[in-house]
Amino acid sequence: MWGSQEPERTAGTHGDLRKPWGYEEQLGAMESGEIPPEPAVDGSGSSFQSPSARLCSPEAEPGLAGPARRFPAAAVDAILREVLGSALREQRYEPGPCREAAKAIAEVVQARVQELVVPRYKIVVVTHIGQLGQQSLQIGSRCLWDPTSDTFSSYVYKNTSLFAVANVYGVYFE
Amino acid sequence: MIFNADEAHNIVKECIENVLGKADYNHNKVNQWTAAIVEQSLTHLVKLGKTYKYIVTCAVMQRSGAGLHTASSCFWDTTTDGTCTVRWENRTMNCIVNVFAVAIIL
Repeated sequence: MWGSQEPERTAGTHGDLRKPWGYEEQLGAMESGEIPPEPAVDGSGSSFQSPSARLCSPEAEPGLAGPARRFPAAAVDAILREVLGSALREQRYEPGPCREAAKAIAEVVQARVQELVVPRYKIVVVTHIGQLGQQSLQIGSRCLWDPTSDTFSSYVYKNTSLFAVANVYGVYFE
Repeated sequence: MIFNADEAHNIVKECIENVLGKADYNHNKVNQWTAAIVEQSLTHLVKLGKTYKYIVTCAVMQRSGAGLHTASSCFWDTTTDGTCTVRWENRTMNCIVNVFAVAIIL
């Protein structure tokens, strides 16, 4: 039941999508001895260019060309450092206030990251706040995405009575 | 296309049971455990064949009476994207797994 198939870590099929959809048809025509007309980039006139080829060219569909502006991981790092530092400095761990603080920090970080206005990026912010005791804790995450356009930023804050971990993931909307 | 949180919940719960099932907290193994839970969850989510990018987060903590709060905030398309959180515990440890699914258009 638990197959041993490795999941694709990168969106490998994207390479296929960047070929114009009329591509296969053109190849077929050449093999049969005919010379196909030049495919028109503006989609006019050619009988070999299917309507969807226009939709898939980078000029018509900007999303397929990749992000115009990359997710600014360094700027997000600075935001996390500032927000966590100012919210939790000198705070003691208390269940009620820390529950509210975790939610508030997640919302503030999200608002600040949105101010950076990176077009076509979806944002996920995860915050953990815990008491510093004698216990040990492991937090891990793994993502299935396109590593050329998507990234994350992480920050750990610690004081004498609590610790806080904040992760911000930026996912490109393709 | 709507994210099916129940389906994801069942998948992740099964992965956690598989990895942590009858184990007691062990500091040397916890690294492997979080990696295994996250890896298996991702593999099974991918097998659903939906056009989503996934972010899976796992936190495993020893039960010693200390408190832990987790919160998240997301900027996305609420009609297509979704999240699912699974809390699990046994005698010696707590485990929290978050799955965030972000839709893409092919």
